[in-house]
Amino acid sequence: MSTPTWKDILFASGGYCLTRYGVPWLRRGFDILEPEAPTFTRADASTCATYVDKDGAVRAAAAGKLRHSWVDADGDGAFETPSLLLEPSRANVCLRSENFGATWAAIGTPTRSAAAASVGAVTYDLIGDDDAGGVEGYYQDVAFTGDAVKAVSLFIGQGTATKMFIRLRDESAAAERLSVNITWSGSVLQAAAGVGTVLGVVPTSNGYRVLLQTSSITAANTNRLHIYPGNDSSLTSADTGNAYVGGVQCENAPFPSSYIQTTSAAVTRAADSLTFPVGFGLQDLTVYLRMPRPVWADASGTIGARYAIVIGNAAPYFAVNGASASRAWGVETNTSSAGLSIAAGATQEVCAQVRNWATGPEVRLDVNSGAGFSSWSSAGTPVSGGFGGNRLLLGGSAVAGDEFGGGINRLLVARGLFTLAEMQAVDW
Amino acid sequence: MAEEFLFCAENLLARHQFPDLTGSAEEAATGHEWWRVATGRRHPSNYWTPTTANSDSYIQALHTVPRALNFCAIDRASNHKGYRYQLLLSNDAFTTSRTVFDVNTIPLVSGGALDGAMGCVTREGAWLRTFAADGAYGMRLLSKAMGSGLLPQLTGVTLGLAWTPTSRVSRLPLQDNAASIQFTESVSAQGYRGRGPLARLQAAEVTFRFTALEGASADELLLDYHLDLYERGNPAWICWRRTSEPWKAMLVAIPTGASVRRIVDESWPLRRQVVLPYLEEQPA
Repeated sequence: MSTPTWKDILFASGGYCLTRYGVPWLRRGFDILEPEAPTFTRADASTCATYVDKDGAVRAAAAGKLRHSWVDADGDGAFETPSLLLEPSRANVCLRSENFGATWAAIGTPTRSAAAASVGAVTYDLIGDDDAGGVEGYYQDVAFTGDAVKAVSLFIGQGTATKMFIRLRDESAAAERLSVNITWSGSVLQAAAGVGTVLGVVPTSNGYRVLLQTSSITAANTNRLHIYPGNDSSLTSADTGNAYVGGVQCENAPFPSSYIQTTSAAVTRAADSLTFPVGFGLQDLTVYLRMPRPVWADASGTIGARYAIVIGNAAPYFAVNGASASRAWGVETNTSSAGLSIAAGATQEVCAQVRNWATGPEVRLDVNSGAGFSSWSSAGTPVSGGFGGNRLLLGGSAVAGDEFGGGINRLLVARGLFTLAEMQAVDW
Repeated sequence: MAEEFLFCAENLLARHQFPDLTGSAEEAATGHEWWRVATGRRHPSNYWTPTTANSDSYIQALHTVPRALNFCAIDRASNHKGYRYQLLLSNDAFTTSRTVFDVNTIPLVSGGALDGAMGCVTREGAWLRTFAADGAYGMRLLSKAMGSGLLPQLTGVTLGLAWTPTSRVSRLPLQDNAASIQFTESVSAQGYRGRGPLARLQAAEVTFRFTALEGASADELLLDYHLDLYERGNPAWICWRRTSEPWKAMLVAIPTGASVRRIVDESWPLRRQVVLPYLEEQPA
């Protein structure tokens, strides 16, 4: 086979499709009815979903609005990679996420300048430790549910402090579930975990968003989130300094999702659901996906199946997902499956193939690790006709909770079997 | 070079192109509603204007699906030159928004660069600006307060995703300054000719050849979309040389009885050609 041309492309989508063609689906001409238009839902009770715009600022999206989020995939400070952000339902159970003046309790007498800076819709308090004879900061007891690893995230901007310490301490068991030291190399934030995991340090237009995962907690215990703006884990009294902190988020999940602002109560963001009508039936297909590295790729614990695409919202279907336990990309039909480990690198590419539906569908995939295709799976149950419901689900499956949990930059569905290199070379 | 070309028939403010859009203005005087900026009429009496002088005011469109744009045009006969304009995008009905550009002062004289901070003013006084494509549900063109007693008057505004071909497209020789002279004429029995007012319209054809070996290339897909709009009578902004002579850009329409010719060259290597005829729309 050679590089597919656009006559071979059955469907396209992703953030890149939106900026290249004007809409997030493959539009071949003007049709005032736009029959290929997607169905998108996110039933938020209030405007709480956020995304990062092209300038690196955090913006809000109203309920039912598909988020077109930008990522600095190559670390050059420019937010050049557009993606459609598709996430499961999440709640931020940390209250007063941008206001250390309420609900948060003071450790000592920290300084605070309310709403001292912002990064788009997120405001920072400037909090500081000015006591060379004591340790100062803020804490909040967080009401988690369920014993498991949890997600913690926050926005940090550089102040006068050269170090900062964040921890989640089980006060009942006198044990730390998260211990992270923040330092600055010039103006670049660095995070190192002693307990728990640093899943990412994401630059924004003003500061950074730090993505963390705790070790397993006991929900019934008192889990206290501490933020020390001028110290490290040694909690040396003589250390002082301030930092811009805001957008604090705690989630009952193994990896952080996009930011949800809270005030006096926890706020829940509903799940994204994006589906398209499709007019092609069961045939040999190649699906190509390109995505910023999802945050769950490096998370511990049970992350669930994170579906990037499902063609068919009922059997028979063809899907690509992030596998639950093994941190691998998976490809499957309802009766066959295969997988490969997630590649290193900030950008993920997956090329998944399916063939021989009539005699028993077989699947395989390739990822951008240089290892080539996996072996063909064993044959599934023969089937003919169309995909279930003649719909394509992007960033989720028909099962609630299986949403992708990240952004999708490019999706191509081609008829026939093509290699990763051939799909990468598609002219668009 | 074909990469210098720009063509935009899409207008995200046009209700006849996007029936589901919800358009509005911060204020609109009676008979000068927001939608008049997207009718394609270039007459000085066809404009949007608010009612409160020396105040920030805007027109905006909220769509039902996210749409990308990389081009903004304010047509001639608007009073935009010398004043400040911003383009904002939003996904929460402008509770929050991103500022795509903030032009402090639209230049008074023709010239400039399409992708420059100040944009480009054409020979006939329209203002054009291109920018990196971004997508959103809502787009707003904001006129900042103009000064005591002054109101913005916008005769035409275009927001859309313009077609700018890549190096995979080559362009055959172009008549970019060809003109069509139009007038009414009567001839008496003695052979005396009387002519009415004369209008000089630029008119020609531009031809593109796609270098893809077979099938439609990515360039063709977006061009097909614009040509579909163009062939339905929508005017389009056209610019032949985006970097060297952007001020020659103009608003064109498909000539009466003409059609865009799409030629498939079946000889090897397989290529497609598009022949795009145009006629200057309602010249000044």
